[in-house]
Amino acid sequence: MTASDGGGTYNGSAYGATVTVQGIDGTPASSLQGVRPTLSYYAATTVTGTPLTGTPTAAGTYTVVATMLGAMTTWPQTVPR
Amino acid sequence: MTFTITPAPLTVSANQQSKVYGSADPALTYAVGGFQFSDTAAAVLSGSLSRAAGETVGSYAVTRGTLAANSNYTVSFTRNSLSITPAPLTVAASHQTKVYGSSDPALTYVANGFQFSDSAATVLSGALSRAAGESVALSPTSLRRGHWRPTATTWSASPATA
Repeated sequence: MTASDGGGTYNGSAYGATVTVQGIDGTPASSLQGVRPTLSYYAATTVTGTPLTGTPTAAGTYTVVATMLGAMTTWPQTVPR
Repeated sequence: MTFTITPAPLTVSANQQSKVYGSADPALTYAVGGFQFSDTAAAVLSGSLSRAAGETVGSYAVTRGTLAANSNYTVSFTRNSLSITPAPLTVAASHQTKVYGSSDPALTYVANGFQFSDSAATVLSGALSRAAGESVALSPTSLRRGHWRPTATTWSASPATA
């Protein structure tokens, strides 16, 4: 997974990080075998407390954690022999 | 990974204000530019402007005071001024009489419009003057109302009454 900076100047809209995943073929995609990473945002510079309920809109520094459970279970099936 | 949403710039410019000496201060207002989305001053700003202390006639700086924006904005403030202009003061000379040949009475007046605890003694200086002359002068108004009383050697006049 690769995460990119989702920050910017406050404009009242939500800012979210962009995460791409890639399988063994190396092609970046927003999902892998239909599974999208789940992003959790924390209003802190570290993973602290409860994640936000959505993507952040207010000015501040956020930590984003990307979780992708499904890909781990499917990974062996895509390994070429 | 961390990322940052930086505060948006917000320009706040104090409006020029004025008031007459002795009156209450006007509301210290401002113009704002840079709100994002549906944000409003009521939702974003808190506190109020303030001005330099003083009540005498002059110019006083209007400053940011306690005005602050929420964390989504960075305020750029432009100050202005409050001008205190002179208050109107009405001064009416009092009618005076004297007997021909006598010295002039004090030339008095009635003043209205003092502010605060001001008084004639603290506000006014100098003295009234009158046109030169010592001969008897007849006021057309007094003559019309019949208040002039000739005596053997002098003329005296009393103020006309309604």
